[in-house]
Amino acid sequence: MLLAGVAAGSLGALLGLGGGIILVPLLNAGLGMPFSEAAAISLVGVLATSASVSAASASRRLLNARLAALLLVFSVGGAKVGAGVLDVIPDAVFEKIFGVTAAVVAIAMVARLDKRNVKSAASLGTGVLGGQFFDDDTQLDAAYRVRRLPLAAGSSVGAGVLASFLGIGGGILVVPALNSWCGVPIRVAAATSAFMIGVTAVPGVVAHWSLGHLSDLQLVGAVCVGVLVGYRLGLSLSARVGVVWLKGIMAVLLLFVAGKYLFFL
Amino acid sequence: MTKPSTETTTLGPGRIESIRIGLARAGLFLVASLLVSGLVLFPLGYVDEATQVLQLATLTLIVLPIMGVVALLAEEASRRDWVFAGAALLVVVMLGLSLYRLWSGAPA
Repeated sequence: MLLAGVAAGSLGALLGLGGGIILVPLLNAGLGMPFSEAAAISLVGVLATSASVSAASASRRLLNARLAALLLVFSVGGAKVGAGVLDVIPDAVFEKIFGVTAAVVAIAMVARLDKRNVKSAASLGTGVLGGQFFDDDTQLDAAYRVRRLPLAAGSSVGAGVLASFLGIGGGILVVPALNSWCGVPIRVAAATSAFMIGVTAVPGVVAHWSLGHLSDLQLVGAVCVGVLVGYRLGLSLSARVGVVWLKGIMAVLLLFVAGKYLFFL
Repeated sequence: MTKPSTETTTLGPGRIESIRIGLARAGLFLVASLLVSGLVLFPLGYVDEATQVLQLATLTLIVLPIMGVVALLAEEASRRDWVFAGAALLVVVMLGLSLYRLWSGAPA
């Protein structure tokens, strides 16, 4: 369990994911735990990843606080709706939804271009929601403007519902939406999403806890310690590991997970 | 007589952000300590104590992001960005309702 947590935490640091997309199949398919319990433990792991991200000052410089405040209304709203119906939907339905989500994420991971969306700070008005930041890649001040806000809001609602249903952070929806459709640079999108996933996970964790899905606290503790260690490990590896290769391996793994949940149950 | 600097006494956005980072780091340290303590107590046979410590760790993990939103609310309010402060307040209220329902035993 500690190792599963380490894997999830490392992926959180390397790919900007909460790690739930790895933890849930490990706990459910790997250990034979009921899906709802796996999702519950995974969501607590997402909280641990989020706590690690919040304590790192690097992400603070990139966090778009206004955009986060606005989108959280939608993601937390979605999470509350998802949490409200947790006890009426059977685990088999969640497993199918997880399979579809894993397939979509795998395809998006392979297909999505790393759009930069940044312009020189002097060349662009940022609007109310946009911002400026120091771009480490170009070593210059850069600016961006947020476009298509309804799409960002819609993806946040979806991320919230999926967080409660599946035990994933929701960053897999929010980061591509912000980056590919809404003009937000990938680093800003990842930092903003990392702040959002912890908050979005709260209604789901609370609902799972009150439904008795967090009964094995020893397992919860081991996963969380693994996540905290894994996040530090991921940060130290981030300069040495090729993220493109990592994304490729993740995509293959997710397609396998999708196949398992969709066709081999 | 030197006029006192307002930099350290005014609760501006920069000051709030540094408080937020400090709280996040303290919270992370607390969570890590509680988790390790709980996991060490289990094999030693202190099952009830370990359960309570791990429950406290989980509760702290739930509270930390809520504190982050409260800090965001304070930051936006100090900038007088009332729309975004209102959005943050709405999120805090929604999360508060979830916690209240956990406390009272109703669904989140």
